[in-house]
Amino acid sequence: MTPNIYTQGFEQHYESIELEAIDGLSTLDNFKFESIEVNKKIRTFEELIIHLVKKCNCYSKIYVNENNCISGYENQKAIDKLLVSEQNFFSEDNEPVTYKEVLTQLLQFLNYTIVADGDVLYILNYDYLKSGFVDYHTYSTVNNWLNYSTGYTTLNHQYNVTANSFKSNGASVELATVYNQVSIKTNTYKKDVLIPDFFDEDKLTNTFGEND
Amino acid sequence: MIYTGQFKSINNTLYQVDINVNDGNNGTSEIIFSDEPFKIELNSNDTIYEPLKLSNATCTIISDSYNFNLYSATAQGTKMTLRDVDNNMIK
Repeated sequence: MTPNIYTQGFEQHYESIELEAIDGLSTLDNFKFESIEVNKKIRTFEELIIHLVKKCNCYSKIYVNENNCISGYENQKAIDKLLVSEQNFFSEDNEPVTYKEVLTQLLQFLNYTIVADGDVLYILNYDYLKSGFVDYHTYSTVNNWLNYSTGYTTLNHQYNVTANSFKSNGASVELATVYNQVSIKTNTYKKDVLIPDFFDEDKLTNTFGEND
Repeated sequence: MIYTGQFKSINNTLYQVDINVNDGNNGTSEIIFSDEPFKIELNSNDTIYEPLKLSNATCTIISDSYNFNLYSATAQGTKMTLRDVDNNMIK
């Protein structure tokens, strides 16, 4: 639940209280990133993702779409071969970013989307699913990622929306914005003068020394 | 301490909400839901290609006391779970 959980009326004997809860992934926004061990090292994406999920403290399975692979390692996972330094998640003043930001950066690089359903996390690539592929690498644990087992599976999640799927007053069906054409324009900076100004301070050099 | 309560969805599925409070007590106490017991929202964005798809839930209960122990200063201090009782699945 969010740290600020409710506002409550103060009028009647019985009051209605709204409790707000957020999913495990959202809680990562509240924690600053800590390296896996005390010393920062170069880690694989896999190690980091497990480390992040461990912090959520409520998920026991991860399914990862098998769409990324490294040339020469076809049909194998890519995330355990890609390496990144943990130092990247700390600023020059050694100030860490949040766990959520680390997860966003990792998944953005791989073009993945993470979705939680129950105690299972799905790391998906929509284009891969749209093409009809259903292969997943799995990670599962029973002791919150102290140790875990890996595997490989195919899932066929297909859901047909019918009239019975949804019941509501004043319901509406909505499709999120889709893009079918992206245009990119390039502009070069215009230069009016070919030769720089002769007395431009940037171009002048002091021949005597720093203090003269 | 665990606050627990059950409700049935419009499709006649029995759901149970458990709120685990880290206060060192082992008791279980029942909660009464209001007319809209549990609502889950998926945070929407402009595009489906979003690295993180997050959700939040709102649970409305009716109570005569203040239940201050529900309050937690940390984001993971109090844990709320919604469970499908018949299939024993965490939702």
